[in-house]
Amino acid sequence: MTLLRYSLRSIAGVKVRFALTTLAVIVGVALTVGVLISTDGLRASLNDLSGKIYEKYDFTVRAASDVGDRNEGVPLLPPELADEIASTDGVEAVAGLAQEFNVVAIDGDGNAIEPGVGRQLGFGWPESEVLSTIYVYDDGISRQPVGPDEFAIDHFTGRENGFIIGQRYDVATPGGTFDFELVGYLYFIDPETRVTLQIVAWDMPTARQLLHDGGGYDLIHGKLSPGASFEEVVAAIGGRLGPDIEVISQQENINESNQEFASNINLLRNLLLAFAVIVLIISGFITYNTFTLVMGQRIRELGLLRVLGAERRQIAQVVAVEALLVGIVATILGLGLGIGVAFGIRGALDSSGAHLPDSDLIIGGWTIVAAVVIGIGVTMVTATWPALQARRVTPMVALADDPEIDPFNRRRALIVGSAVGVVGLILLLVGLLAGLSTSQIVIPLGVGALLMLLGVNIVAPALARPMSLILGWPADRLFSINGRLARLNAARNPRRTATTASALMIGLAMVSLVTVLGTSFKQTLNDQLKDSVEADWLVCSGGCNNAEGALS
Amino acid sequence: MSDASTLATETTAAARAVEAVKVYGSGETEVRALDGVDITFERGKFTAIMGPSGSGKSTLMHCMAALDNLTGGQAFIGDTDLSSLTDKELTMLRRDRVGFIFQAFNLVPTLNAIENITLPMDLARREPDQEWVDSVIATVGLQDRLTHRPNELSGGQQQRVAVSRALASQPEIIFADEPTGNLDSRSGNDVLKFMREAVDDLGQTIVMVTHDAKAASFADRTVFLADGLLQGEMLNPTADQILDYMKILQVGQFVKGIPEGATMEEVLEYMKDLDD
Repeated sequence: MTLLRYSLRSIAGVKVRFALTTLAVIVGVALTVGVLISTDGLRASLNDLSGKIYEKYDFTVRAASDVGDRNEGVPLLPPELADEIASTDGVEAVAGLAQEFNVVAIDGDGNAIEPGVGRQLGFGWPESEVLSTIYVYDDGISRQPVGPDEFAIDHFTGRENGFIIGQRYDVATPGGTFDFELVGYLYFIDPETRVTLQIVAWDMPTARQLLHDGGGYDLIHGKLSPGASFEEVVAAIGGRLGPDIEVISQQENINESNQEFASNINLLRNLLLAFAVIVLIISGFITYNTFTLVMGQRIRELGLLRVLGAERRQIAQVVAVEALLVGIVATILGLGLGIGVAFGIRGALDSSGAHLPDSDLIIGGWTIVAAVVIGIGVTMVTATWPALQARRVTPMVALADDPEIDPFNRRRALIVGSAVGVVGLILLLVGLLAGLSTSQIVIPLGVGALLMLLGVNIVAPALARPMSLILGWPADRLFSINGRLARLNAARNPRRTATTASALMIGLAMVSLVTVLGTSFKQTLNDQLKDSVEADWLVCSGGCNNAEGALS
Repeated sequence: MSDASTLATETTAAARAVEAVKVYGSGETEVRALDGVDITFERGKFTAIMGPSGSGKSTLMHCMAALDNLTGGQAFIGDTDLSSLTDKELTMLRRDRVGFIFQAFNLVPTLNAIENITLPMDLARREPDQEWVDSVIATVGLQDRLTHRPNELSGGQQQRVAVSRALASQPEIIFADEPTGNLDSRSGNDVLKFMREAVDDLGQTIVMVTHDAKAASFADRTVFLADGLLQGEMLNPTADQILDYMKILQVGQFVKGIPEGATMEEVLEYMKDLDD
């Protein structure tokens, strides 16, 4: 008990240092937790959305999966097929679907609507009400477009861009730019949900004409009669389908959609987690340095405990308990703060234009496990070495004039530190130059960077004495006795000087990291644009954003 | 105290050293801090070890108290040969059988007085004998200071806490390293009196290293060490007698002309001439 009390009071004795250390771990835990909670929530609400999108369709007929990329365009289904399927036994209703991306509405000032993060979709209003996923927005004046001269627009886009019902607007379509009368606002699935889409809709014949040059449907959705089974209907219509056409069930639709959402979410999650991992590595360094420093300051006390009969195990326990306490506090606060981070991520997504369905706050079991493993794990792992050093404290340390467990070995620090650093550098170069794929590159780069950081950390004390003597020279000259004291004091205990300096080093590394990342992102975007644009001129509607760089 | 009488009547030594050798460094820089010391500390006695700086007195104490290892020879606590023990066993021995008092008090700054006093027993996960601890605290007069941290106590009070800590676990032997070195003479006197009482009333065995003749005069027996060798001993000496003997030891090291095998009286006579 006294040892626990000793640990607690020792922590209290260097409150600020431990508070900052804990804060570093808290931030790492909170980021991880926030990312996991928000992506879990996102996944749930998108899965929910998949369910809603496909809830009406018992089956879907489409071009077979092996015929081209769905995003690039696959053969259309002939309209007669829809009629044939509709007349099959067990089919209650069918609705062909015609849609095309990059259909752009032009507002009253003649500006094209910016795509933002979403896609701009042109859509044919389904001819079967029971199979429609778009609805007239209930504002009293909106109605469904009918005939070749009318269109509707989703109410988010419409209201944000000042589209007034009853006025005429130009819409750019694959078939050319024409003007139509806006007869109403519409919504997709749910009036409050916006899945980054901007939707323009006409009645089906108009849409097919504009989007598919009078051709057929992209998909045909169907609804089964009460009591009919999917298998029977597939068997019945199977014979009429060509080899390039397939029928999938509602569940397959939902699964595919969920999978597509999941891969996007995973991409987002991994990107965000990468930041969390960087923060965690940095908190690891900070906790390591703190425990090393604090243990060094208390070495005489630990020696005294050894004199009075503390076993090596108990001394290591003192350090371990302190790490555990920091870890527990960091885990609990990190979990709490993580919920806030999750709201922040959600808010950032919403403000980028997506209005996702509200989802409950999902704190999954894995999220809590991750928080505990990370919060306690990072502190315990990084405190292991200081704890092992503490084990080596002898009783005589308590009686020594200038106690040090492990007299600093300059040569060894230089050799070991340089070796670790060089291995890190080699890994970095391998990662950069070996022409690996993006996913393969992560490991050598990450481990390489980590090893280089470690190497510098090990070498630092060996350089601290000469560096402080050289760098301290002006202070020595300028500030007489104070300067001299500062210079010699910094050189006296190179380990302490190096530990303090490495906290700053890590801070600087963090700042450079963020700066380099930001600049690289920008450069990459510019390069991609440059690669994709080979023209001398670029005509943009409503501003070219960053596209100017593509030409220069 | 019933323990006191039984301890006192046992005949085996509380601690002893046989041909104890301690060498620091090697080659050119070799220092023989102990050069073959034979000594026995009796149970229930207060023994002082004296000697000039560098005589090896602290080294002897550290090696006998299981804080440091001998290079050669043996050290015993009771019948236990320290050189035969593992690090863990040495730890247990320090915890259960030895008490310590240091010059620099060596209290844990974050623990209060009573927590410091019971620390060795806490480390051993042993319930302190409350009655005994209370009586020790009452003897040294710390009742009102138990919840104070070391930095809230005077030097004398801190050393009384350290004395209480050493006594509280009723060890077989207490080693004290210059216990009055950092104290003013009055506080030092108090501490020495407590140690004397612990021996007389409680039957405690105490070995104290000191270079203060006044402190050594509280002991039953004073042994003298110089150059890593035992030079002699005195039973129940006064401070003045000790000072005189110390002079011989110090002077003898560099003054030639004292005839080999001179008696103490002859040496004192010789020194009187020097003073004149």
